[in-house]
Amino acid sequence: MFVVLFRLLFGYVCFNAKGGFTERFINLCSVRKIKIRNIKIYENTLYAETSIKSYKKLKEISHLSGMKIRAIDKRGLPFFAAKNKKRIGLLIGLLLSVIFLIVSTQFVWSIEITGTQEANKRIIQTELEALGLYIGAPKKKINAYELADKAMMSLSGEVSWLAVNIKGSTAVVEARDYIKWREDETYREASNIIADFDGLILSIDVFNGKKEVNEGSAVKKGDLLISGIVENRDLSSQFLDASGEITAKHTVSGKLSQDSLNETTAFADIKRIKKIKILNVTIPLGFFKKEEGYDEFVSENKMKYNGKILPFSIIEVTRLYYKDSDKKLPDVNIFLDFYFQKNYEKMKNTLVTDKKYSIKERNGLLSLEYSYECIDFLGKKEKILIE
Amino acid sequence: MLNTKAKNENKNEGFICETGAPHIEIDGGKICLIEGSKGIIEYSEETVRINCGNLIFQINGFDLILEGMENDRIRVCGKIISTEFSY
Repeated sequence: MFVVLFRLLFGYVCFNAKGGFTERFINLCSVRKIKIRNIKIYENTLYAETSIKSYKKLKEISHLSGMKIRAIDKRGLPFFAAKNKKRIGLLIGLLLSVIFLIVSTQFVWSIEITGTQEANKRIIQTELEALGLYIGAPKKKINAYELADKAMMSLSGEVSWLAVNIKGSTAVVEARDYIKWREDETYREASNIIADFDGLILSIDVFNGKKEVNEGSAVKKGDLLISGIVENRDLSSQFLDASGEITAKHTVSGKLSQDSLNETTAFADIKRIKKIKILNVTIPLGFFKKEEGYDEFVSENKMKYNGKILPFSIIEVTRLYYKDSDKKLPDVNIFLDFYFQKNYEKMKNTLVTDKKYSIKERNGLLSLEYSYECIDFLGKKEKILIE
Repeated sequence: MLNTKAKNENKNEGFICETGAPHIEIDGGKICLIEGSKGIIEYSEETVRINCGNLIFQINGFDLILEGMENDRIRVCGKIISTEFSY
């Protein structure tokens, strides 16, 4: 690999030699310490490669061995530079891109958070940003161990473990969620875990009790998921407080009538501008007019190459301007996002995988039907009544 | 002390110093490395004959390429079928 790189850096010539004495030619090269490589003979013609300096010396040798040499190909940087001597712009561009690459690799390009729930990722990212790990942060200033310790301390209620590793220009954050029981979790009596909504089981981890359903099975509300009654070898029964973590896919659907829409659909005007973000530097491609009373949504689209995140991203800023007189529905996707953000606390542990909507109009009244396909924690405790 | 000196001398002279014979390595029937060559006597796609002082080493095969030549070392690549020694 390095040999090839060096050869390309200093340049080399591919040549052929005809007639005369091939062996004498090779031996003379060897004696005069002229390095020739990849010597091939094909139909009485010798093909080989040598450096630029050595090629100049070959003329004398070819004369002595009675061979006629001819350059077939010239490869490498010196030839490329000579060809593009007049294209100064190309050279400047090349230099600038190399400088940019060297400088930009000194910063964090992307932050990958793994091993935790989608909702927790946002919390972790916000905390890490406050501690100094953000996109565009200089890598030299980041002390991964110290940062992980501080983040673990401040996120003690959200994560049980956290580690930060800087791999190239990517900060990989590995975290484990702090598992806390919901409401009735302090309950220590014999209990089962039953489904609290209809869904398709994606994963089931049993901490205590007996698994009653498998991954991939569909369950209805009230179905037994983890049993608290465990049978011993001597056929006696043991009553436990069943515990476990079950994730399921389900659909949340609902309907918003005109009344509830009024609250949020008072937006009349939508304006969008785009910005280009290079690490920490943002270049706006447009400006908003000075108007008051709006909601702003920012979405960032990171550019990727071969699955790797690049330090460039396109930011789209959307502003929804209020106009009470107008009750027109804005872009429904933005509306749904708004609704989702409003209900964020409720759906904190929910990962939305798909969303569908339909707008209906009846007697001049608008209604919006929506359905979210979500992945959520499933199961609630149910007391076992022992007589 | 003397022993280390002798060892160093041996290292410098390579493998040839002990017996005066060349050092030949064949790797997987595709690569042949010869140390102690004095020149090439014959070279074609099917045959390479190398002068190794008091013996001549011949490689028979197909598509034989002299991949590199440096001082007294030659690296031959290709499909090697047989090798011969003649004194």
